[in-house]
Amino acid sequence: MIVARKLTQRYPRANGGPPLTVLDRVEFSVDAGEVVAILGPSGSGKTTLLGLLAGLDRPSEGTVELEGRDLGPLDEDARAQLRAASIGFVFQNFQLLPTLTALENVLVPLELLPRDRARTPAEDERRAHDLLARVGLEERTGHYPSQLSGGEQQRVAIARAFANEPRVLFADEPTGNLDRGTGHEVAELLFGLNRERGTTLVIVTHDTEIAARAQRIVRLDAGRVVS
Amino acid sequence: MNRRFVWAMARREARTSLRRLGLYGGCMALGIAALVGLDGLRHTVSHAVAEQGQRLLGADLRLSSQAGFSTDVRERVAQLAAEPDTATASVTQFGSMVLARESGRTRLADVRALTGPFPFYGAVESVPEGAWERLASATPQALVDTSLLIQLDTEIGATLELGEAAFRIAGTLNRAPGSVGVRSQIAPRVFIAGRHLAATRLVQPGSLVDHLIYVAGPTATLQAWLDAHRKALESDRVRIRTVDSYQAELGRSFSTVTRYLGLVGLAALALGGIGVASGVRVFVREKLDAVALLRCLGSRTPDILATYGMLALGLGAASGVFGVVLGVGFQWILPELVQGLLPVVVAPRLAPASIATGIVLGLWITTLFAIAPLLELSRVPPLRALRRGFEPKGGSPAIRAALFTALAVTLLAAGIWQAPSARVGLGFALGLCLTLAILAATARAAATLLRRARLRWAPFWLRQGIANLSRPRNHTVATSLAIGFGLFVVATLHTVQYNVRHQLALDSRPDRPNLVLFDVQRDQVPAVRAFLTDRDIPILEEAPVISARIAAVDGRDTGNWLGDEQLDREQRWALRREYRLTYAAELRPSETIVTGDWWPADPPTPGTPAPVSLEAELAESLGIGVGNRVTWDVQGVPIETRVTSLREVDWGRMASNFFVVFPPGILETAPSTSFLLARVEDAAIRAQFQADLVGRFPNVSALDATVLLTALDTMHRELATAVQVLALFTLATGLAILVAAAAAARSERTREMLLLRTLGAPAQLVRRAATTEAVALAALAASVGTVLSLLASWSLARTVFALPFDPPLADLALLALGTLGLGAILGSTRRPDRSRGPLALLREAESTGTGAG
Repeated sequence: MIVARKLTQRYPRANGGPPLTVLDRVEFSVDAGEVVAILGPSGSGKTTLLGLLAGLDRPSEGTVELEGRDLGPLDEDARAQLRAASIGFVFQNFQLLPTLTALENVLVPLELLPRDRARTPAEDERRAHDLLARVGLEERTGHYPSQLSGGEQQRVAIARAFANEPRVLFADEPTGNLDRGTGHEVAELLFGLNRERGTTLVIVTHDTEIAARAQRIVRLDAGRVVS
Repeated sequence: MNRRFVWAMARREARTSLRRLGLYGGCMALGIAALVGLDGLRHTVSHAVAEQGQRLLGADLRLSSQAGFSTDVRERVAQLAAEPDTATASVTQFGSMVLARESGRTRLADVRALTGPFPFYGAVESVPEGAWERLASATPQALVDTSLLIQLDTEIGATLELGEAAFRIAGTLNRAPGSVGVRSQIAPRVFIAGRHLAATRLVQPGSLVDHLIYVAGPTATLQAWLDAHRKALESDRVRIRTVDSYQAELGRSFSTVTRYLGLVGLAALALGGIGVASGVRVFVREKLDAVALLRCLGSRTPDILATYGMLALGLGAASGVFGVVLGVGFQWILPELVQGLLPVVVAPRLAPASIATGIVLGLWITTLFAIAPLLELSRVPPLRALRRGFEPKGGSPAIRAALFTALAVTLLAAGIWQAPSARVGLGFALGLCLTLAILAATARAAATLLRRARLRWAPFWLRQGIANLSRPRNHTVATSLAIGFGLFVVATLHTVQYNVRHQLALDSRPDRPNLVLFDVQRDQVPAVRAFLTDRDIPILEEAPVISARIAAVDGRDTGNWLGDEQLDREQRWALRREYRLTYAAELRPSETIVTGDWWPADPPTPGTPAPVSLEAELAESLGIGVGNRVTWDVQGVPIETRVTSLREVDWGRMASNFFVVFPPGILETAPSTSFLLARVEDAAIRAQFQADLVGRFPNVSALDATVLLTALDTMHRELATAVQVLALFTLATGLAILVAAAAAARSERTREMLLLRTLGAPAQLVRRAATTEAVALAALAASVGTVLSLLASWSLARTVFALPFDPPLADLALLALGTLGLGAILGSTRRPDRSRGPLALLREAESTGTGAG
């Protein structure tokens, strides 16, 4: 499903010194339906790797293949189209659009679907309602993010992540901004939905408890895969 | 493009953003309103002029001559009058004193003696009805403007003495041919029948009289007659007015005034544009995270641009519509403000072209100013959703250059569209661009300098406030532009106005003449002098006046020359006009020689061309200078002269100013009248003196200069009010931007302030830092704006209005201080809600996206 070869990411330094190497020749692959956790300390390059795998950034060197398609030659808009069709995201800081209600936030990926997969607005709305019901927020569909707690916001984000029926789901520290109990509930929801839908899941975390629930753990340290 | 997504997102964003963006749109709407109002009024006036042209002229054709029509012209007119369906009427028009016998009051009036069935078009409305038709009866009667009755404290049925004849006031006129306005305040109209004119004995050789012939007839007949005789008429210095040319003349001067006013509106619009740009910029900054997320979720560049572009266009359209609504309302108020400047009575009407222009302007200006910040959204990296530190990449220099070019071209086109001439429009657009560039450059330079300044000695709040000016996401340039430009426009208008007003009152000498006596016949001069001396009224100036025309310039016959259709307006005017010459041995205090030399004391050598001095602008109109020869036709006698000097004349000074001055020894024998200037302090004595003078010398006219100054002041006050109203639009726009910029800065700095509060900074310290930032910004913008306004008003006063420059420094300082005070108030209100804890607000800032994350 995902193959990364010799993935290297460097950033220029503000003072003009030698570039900072964040990822160094990372080799990595994920099979379809697999749940992989990327584990590592702060600054080890976890989020950078996630960004490259999801096509949010271009590597300085190396390649990423998603469903057998090399992301390298694709421009930003083509990669966006690919994300709209096949990828879902869950972020550490929820990233809900503040001016949209919970329901509208879940509707956004459905509205971005390519034409061949688009449904009627009524069908989309029904689906968004179902997803919100699935995450236990059927009573809060008309609420704005500022009216929801952190756990509720992340549940909306999970509903949104599954809305476009992605083949791959990337989760960046999904419980990082939540207390332990809420984090546990959210993780349950994420893994449960993933199981139900057979989605490939790549989860970045430094929570070993969550990582332990993955089928495979990839450890990163100082930009290299250590195990 | 994914239309469904774009529509849905734009609708959702509009729900929460339009109210806030509306404030910025409001800034622009005011500018649009000013332009729509003025444009609409121009349309209304030109429509009214077109509709009423024939009625205003009262005929299809008017021929006029100051020297009287020659036999040749009279014969030509007689031929025309003999054509079928053609009729003529004549009017003799001149200024004269009138005396109300019962009240004993006098007044300078505009006397019109009518012969024939004038007017041919448009009904004359008189009180009582039918008085106009009875005007030609054997009993001498006069119909007057209502204002004259008030000024003379008399009434219908009373007696009006006009020269040596007495007329019964048969009624007043509510509507008669010809435009009214300020002129009627100086000299109200008195209509009498031509058959009674001779009895007044007011028309004498050398009197200032206009002779008019009005013609009504079929267009084809008139056109054929004009085609055949135009050259001969022009050569005979007959001025021709058709309905078309009269309409053009009426519309032209008003259009010029409104076009100057339009430039003020345009400045307000440019300022509104800056408001929109800074508003959209703040909006875009707040949307960076949302856009990063949308990109993450798979939205493409066209979808993002279309979504937010639609919002901007919605804002533009809404501003345009709001501006049009305001402008149409303004159109109802404007005629009241500039009543004295209107050539016709107008009823406000909706001008579809103005309305369309307003909406198109709203859309275009928004697009132009919003596009640069919006393009930033297309460069937001999706990675920002994971890591907030990723800022949009820098835009393409080519696109930036294209935008600047479009902006400059728009300003230029709008300037030329609004300005009375392309040159003024070009100057306006360049001045505007230069001002904006200087304001932006100064703000940048100040921010750089402040960044480098080490303020270790300063308290924390001061360092914090000053440092904010150069920190990321600062508003230094945008706010400086908004405040500086707003202040610049208001201060420039005020300074120019102050100078114009000052000029009107410039002749403030305590012994300044306030009584002008003219049409004093040569044989009356000693008696009039004695009349004044007997009453202890000093004669301040006295000048002989001799009527003449230009017969030839450097041997070229003026009559033939006037037949040349290529002549420009000014030259034609200068060649055709009737001149009032004078002679003097010495230069007057109101005159300065700019080229050549004043004549020596010795009398001119007989047999050689006499020296003559011309007013510099007249010489320019004639296209001649020192050394050229001018042949004058002094009532039939040719006099050869050579221009020996050009003079600059201070026309603002109450003095005997002349275009043409001869040395003594040449014109003494020519028929002349005299012109005397005197001063009578007390208004009542002045009025009594005028009454006595008219009793003794009925043909001598006396103009109370205070009446003239009051009339001029009224006209100026109307213009000034119109300018002030428009300046208010600009000021309101500037204030709206200031409030909006303060709100934007508040939104940008919210998280920072909350963090400071969380770290234990007292609310007062946070407020002081915010106030320091706002005051520093206001001080920077106010000082640059004031200096630039001084430069601009100096150049306007010197070049456009040709006035000496005297800046109202106290007013300007007050304006700048007011801006500072406003900055301080707005800055000090920029603080987080103190009723709630910092943590709650931090969470709110996080979830509403107002903070940095």
